[in-house]
Amino acid sequence: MDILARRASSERATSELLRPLLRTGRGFYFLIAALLILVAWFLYAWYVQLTQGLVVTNMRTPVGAAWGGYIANFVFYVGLAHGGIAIAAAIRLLNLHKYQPVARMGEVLTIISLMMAGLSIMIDMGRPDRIFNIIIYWPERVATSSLTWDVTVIILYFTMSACYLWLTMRKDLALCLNRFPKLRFLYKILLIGYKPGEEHTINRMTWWLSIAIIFLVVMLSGGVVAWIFGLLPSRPGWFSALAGPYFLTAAISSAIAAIIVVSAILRRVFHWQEHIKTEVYSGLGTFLGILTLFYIYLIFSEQLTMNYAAPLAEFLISVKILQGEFAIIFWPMLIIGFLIPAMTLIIQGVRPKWFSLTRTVTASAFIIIAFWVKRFLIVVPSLLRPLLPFPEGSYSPSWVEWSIIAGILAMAVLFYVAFLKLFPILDLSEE
Amino acid sequence: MMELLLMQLSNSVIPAGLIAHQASTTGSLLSDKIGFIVLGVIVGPVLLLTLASIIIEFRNKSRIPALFLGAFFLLIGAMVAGFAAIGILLKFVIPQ
Repeated sequence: MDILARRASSERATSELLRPLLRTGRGFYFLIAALLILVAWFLYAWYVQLTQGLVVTNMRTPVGAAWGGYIANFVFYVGLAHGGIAIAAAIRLLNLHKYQPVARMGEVLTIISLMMAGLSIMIDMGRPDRIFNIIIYWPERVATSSLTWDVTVIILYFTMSACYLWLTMRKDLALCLNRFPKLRFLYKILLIGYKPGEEHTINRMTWWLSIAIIFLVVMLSGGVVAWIFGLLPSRPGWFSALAGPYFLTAAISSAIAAIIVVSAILRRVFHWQEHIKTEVYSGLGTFLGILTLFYIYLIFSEQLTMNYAAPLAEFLISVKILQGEFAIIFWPMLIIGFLIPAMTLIIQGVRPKWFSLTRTVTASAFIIIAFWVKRFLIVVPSLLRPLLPFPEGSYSPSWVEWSIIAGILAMAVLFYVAFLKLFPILDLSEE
Repeated sequence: MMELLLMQLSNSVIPAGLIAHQASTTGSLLSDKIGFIVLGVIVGPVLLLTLASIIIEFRNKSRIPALFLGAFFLLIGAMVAGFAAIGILLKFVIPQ
């Protein structure tokens, strides 16, 4: 009787975990329709850009900014791509089982974000039909081009993350094999060579892979992406040894914020309150608050260096951000986007009885938006200052750029929803 | 280097001759091969760790390392093929 009751309880728990695959409500179709409309609009905007050229954007050179919203978007998505897999790897290495329920959500976020980062770069190219040149000229560019290092490390990171996700998901796919006949074909491909009991081997292998992935996280966001900017002496505001830690802190913070928001939405929609406890959000929230506060310190440190006795060009970029045309987005970003949410999260961490999930999710959402704005403020102001005696330009994204940026976000959500409908997003073996 | 030369032309306070001499004789450490050092520092440890995970399990006669390697190269191949496919496809859209 006891065994039967336990089996029934386990079966009920598994059904709860598989809710996204088992149930399809009306809201799902509305969401898909809305996302598809946005993606169609994105395709139209991209078509306009492809056929008429980058002139339909507001990016200009030599007067104006040669990089704009697309590059900010690229840095933003590379940042988002870090937390998920880093959290999953940290859980494995440090035995942080409390956070296990959000691990796969983060891993999927990593894969999709990397795809969106790659897409943002491709869209920024004037001639994306020549994209294969990246591979053809790789051997002769790799010695000196920081962009080539970026492509190499991103491809490696994407491959490692996808393989990691695939390996850690195999046991759950085996559990789902007979439950979903329509998806059997897909599961069988992904379960190639599967043998019951392989989890022990996978656990040992993924322990090593976790270290490799955490190392890659540091060297990608705190390394090659940051060095695209930080190694350029001719661009005031970019050339800095601080670029690595600065970008890495931003990447991990924005990714943790994204995991909090995504998992909280899924928890509410699929009634997973029992499986994802509030302690997960309390822990992640406090960590996010501390990281965001550390990021504010980095901003202060950067601005102090640019104002104290810096070369004139550096000083003028700082003035542009603190008092000039970008002040209108810098100060709200700093106070509403970083300071207030960080303090809220830290106070909640210090006083656990003040914890509120809604507040944590709201603070995280503000932090995500602020980090997009910050990436914009890193990319654009420095480029507006011409290196030769041209007049200073200005930049704000055109309707094509906004449409494409919104379409990329819609596509990311669409891919995430598609994953939810095809694969278990929570670890079934934990139950 | 160019910056130093411009400085010595524009500012007579700086000992121009000395700087010009330094600029012409000093080269940065392996500046033409810096990419190999950077990628070596990044990719080297990743490959070592991955190999460590694979070799240990190969010794245990598990098939997971082979599957992992298969997936790894398949994905990289798919990405390279994807670049080629996207390039070809976009040639039909972008006026040549």
